[in-house]
Amino acid sequence: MSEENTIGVVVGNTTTDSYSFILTSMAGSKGDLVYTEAEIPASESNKSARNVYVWGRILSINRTNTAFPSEIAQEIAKEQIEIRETLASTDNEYQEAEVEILGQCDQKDTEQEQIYLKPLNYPVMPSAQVRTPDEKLVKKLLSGTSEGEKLIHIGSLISRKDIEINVSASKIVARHMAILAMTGGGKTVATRRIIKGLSDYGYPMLIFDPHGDYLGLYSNRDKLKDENGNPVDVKIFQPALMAKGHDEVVEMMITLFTKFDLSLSPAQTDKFYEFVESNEAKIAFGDPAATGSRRQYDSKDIKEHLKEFETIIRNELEKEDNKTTKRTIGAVLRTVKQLIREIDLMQKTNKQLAKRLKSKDNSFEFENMPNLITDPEDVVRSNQISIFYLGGFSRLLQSMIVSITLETLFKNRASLDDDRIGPFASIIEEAHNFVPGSGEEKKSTPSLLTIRKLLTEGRKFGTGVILISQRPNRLDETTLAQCNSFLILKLVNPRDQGWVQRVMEQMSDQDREALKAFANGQAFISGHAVKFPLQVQVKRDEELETSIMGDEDFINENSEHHKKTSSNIKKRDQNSESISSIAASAKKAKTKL
Amino acid sequence: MVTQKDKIRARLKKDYYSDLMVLAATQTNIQDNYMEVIINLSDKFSKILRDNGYIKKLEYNPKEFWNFKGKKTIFNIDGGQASVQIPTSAPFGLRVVNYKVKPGDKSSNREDLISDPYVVTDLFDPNSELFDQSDDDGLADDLKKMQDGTRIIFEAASALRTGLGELDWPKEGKKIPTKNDMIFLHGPMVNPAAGYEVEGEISGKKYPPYSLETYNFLLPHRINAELPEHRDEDPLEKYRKFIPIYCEILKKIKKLDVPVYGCVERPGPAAYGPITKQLMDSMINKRILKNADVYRNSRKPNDPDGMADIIRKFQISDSAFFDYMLNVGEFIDPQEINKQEEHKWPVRKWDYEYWGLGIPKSFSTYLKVSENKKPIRVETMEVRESYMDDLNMVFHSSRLLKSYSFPVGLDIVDKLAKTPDWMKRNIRKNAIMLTLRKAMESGNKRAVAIARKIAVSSDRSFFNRPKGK
Ligand SMILES: Nc1ncnc2c1ncn2[C@@H]1O[C@H](COP(=O)(O)OP(=O)(O)OP(=O)(O)O)[C@@H](O)[C@H]1O
Ligand SMILES: [Mg+2]
Repeated sequence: MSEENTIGVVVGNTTTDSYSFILTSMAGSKGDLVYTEAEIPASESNKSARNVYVWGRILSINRTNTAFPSEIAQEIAKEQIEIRETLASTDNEYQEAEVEILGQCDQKDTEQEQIYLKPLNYPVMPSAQVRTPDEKLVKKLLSGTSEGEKLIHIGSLISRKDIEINVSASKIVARHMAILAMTGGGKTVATRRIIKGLSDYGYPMLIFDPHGDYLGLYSNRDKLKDENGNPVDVKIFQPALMAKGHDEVVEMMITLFTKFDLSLSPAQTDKFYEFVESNEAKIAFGDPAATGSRRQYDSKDIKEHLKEFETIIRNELEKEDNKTTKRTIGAVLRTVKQLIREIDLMQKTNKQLAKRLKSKDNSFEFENMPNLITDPEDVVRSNQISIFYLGGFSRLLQSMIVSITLETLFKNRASLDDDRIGPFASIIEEAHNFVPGSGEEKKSTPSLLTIRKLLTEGRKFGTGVILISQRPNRLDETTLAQCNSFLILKLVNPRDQGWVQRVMEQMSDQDREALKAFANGQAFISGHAVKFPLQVQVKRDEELETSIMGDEDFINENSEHHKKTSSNIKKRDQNSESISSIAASAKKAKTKL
Repeated sequence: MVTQKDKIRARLKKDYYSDLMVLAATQTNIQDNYMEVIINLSDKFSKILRDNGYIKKLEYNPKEFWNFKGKKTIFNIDGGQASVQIPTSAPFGLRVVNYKVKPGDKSSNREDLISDPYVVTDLFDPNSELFDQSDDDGLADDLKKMQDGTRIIFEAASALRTGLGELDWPKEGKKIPTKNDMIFLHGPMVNPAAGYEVEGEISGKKYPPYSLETYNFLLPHRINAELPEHRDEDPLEKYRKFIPIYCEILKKIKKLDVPVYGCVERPGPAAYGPITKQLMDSMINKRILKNADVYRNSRKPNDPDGMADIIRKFQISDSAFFDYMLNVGEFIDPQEINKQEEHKWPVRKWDYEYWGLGIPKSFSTYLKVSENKKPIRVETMEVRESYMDDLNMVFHSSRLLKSYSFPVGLDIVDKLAKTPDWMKRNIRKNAIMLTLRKAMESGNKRAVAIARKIAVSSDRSFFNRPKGK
């Protein structure tokens, strides 16, 4: 240990949790790891006194430039004098840093491959020297959370670019993670880093992507290889509302009816249930109890079910003679048709958006959703990333898609006798839409309970979840509390900050304060995935991004649009001009008469 | 046109006079015309001063003024005390800060700082008894005086050591300032000395002498001392005390090439200030004023008062009086003031003629820096050729802090000298330990008892730890 890396001296009262020190050089900055030498006196449990290093993290640095009276700035500006021409001091300040103690290790432990910290139960000594560890030492300290841990390289310490930070891949997939930041804070960049990290191990992933932020992974899939050099496949699915079996289909239908606000009169409701419970419907939807039900496991797009239902009603309508009843059946039929139209519209929008994306990157292949009951391995398999592109669907439908997809896969994963798929990770963007916190939204969000289940059972079944959101305070707190690791990027809204601090256990006031000042990609990371809380600069994988999803270039789009349409518009304008002049003269002519 | 009277009237209405006026009003029976009297008197007096060249003026020209190109070095010195919470209320920690700056220097050597902490009780001779107490009650007062005296001496010594080139600056090493440079002290240039050396007939108390080490530190030039008493290789204990050391330091400072000034931020409340008095005496001597107009002091109840009587009766201090009179940039021609008043000199041992009058006089002025602040007092021991230029430095560097109106260099050291909390804690622990140790070494039972009392009541956790197994 050289004297060179001494950056300050411990002052004031110290505890086993924290201490302050006065910086003697400008070498320290917030977030830095520091250590001090200490002697732990002999006690009953420790036969002899031990020399240890006490490790800590700088939480805050208060610069007290007592020597720069701020008032001076006014006069200097007003009179246009240069501050250095005067007597004012520009460099006298002293800085007091607050350090959160992370733990201690025996001094001889630093010769080991890795350093493991134990709790400190004796405060550091005032006047002790505070040092910054060299790169080697930090690596030993930061590497791994336990031996043989699979790691993901997330970036570097904000304050020290030479120090790489890794997070535990296994902890993320077993114990979940939340990635929170205001918009533009770098959530997607960070998530992409983690996806890339997990793909190194060929870990199966599902991405629910409402904005197509992750389609770049598809375009650049040739760059994804696992650690053994095997390719990692990326598939994009055009999602659908899949349902199977009478009960499920009916339930979904009713949900859709209510959510789309399609109301039926009491008489119509009676008829509706009559049809729903009919043998034909049971056969069509697949009822295990129904005769001739070959299709009990046939999961289909709900739209297809609805179309069959429509046919059943239409048949009834034709058979019916009673005029009043006929009218009632007609009304039910119209409502069902309307529901089909609504769903159809969204699917069309989704397809349109997909087409639009495809027009920008011709390589995009959108696949139809496979039958998750019969063929779950189409979406969950090693060395495959499955992206569910949710663009165009309403919030409810998105939630239903996520719910049904994950529910089906979870059942598949959890059923012991039919263990067809392995563990997988689900990555959920805009998580506030899928696990909302407000009571009102909760009711209309079927995905909430599904995701909760994945989180609580995640350790048992390996159904890890990564939640991403720019509206932390709109997330469901109970769900978030299940996340064991957090990556918090820039957050400026004090409500979000407060909320995040409440949910996380390891965030100090100083860390919370730091959030608003973070630059893009700077983050606070804590929880099981790291040994102790850290501030990191997330690594950006630019090669996995695609330009097509960047900010929409409306200026260029307009000029393109203009090129194509302007001559037509011009013509029309000219026409309209001549027409109106004609009309005007016509009017005049009239008055002359 | 705004007359001087209008200005005085306006200034009188300012907040900082209201309590003064309340005070005066309750103590005099002439509340009604209080304002009028002050206005008329100030107006009259300022006219006389102006007519006779006692008021001078500086122009504020920051752009031209701040153009030193690093060729002038300004030293700023202040001492701060750590007021440690122990029952005696005596502060033990002392910090002297010296800030050196070369305006306009573009290099990294522009500023340099020395900030030295001391534990006061460490500075005294360890062989003498720290407590020679006949009663507990005086202890707090005495410790406080010891502390104040030590601070004053250390500040002055810092100026002296600066002037002699004794200081080893972190960036520039040793450097002897020239007459082109300046040293500023936060506080008076010359302090009344008698109060800090109470050994004598009146109090009967005795302070210990400073240790030889401290003594040599304070007077690094000892072989060439101005006073022969200090030249001894093996000095008498009696000269390692406040008065002889202070006297020597000031005499030597007066001889330095570099001019030294003391700036006083909040002049004391003394009504009928010494500068006003000196000005009136001076004008009587020069036959500008009649003695009777100043000191009428008639016994007849209906006779009008003299100016001195009015000032005394209305409790008009120097700073208030000159505040009424001076406009921004104006200052009073410096007046020679003897701060060592004979009637307050209680120390028979220290012959007044030799020691009291041996301490240099100060030349004091009041300089009005901004309209909204009282003028500041600037003191020096010798009015030199550079006086006007030097005051201009005070003026311009004070203008940088408009609402504060005090030289910015001194504002800086003032803040730095305020010992931060964490240091107080350490100083306190040291101080308590030291007091206790010294008391025990002295073998004086009383002293031990007092020291224990201090220790126990102030830092319970530290001293009353359960006895280890
Ligand atoms: N780790 C990083 N390193 C460098 N730049 C970054 C990093 N993270 C984010 N950025 C920059 O910030 C921009 C926004 O990042 P990103 O798209 O990840 O934000 P976001 O939080 O997902 O935003 P939104 O809420 O809009 O989805 C990126 O395009 C990039 O320019
Ligand atoms: Mg994003």
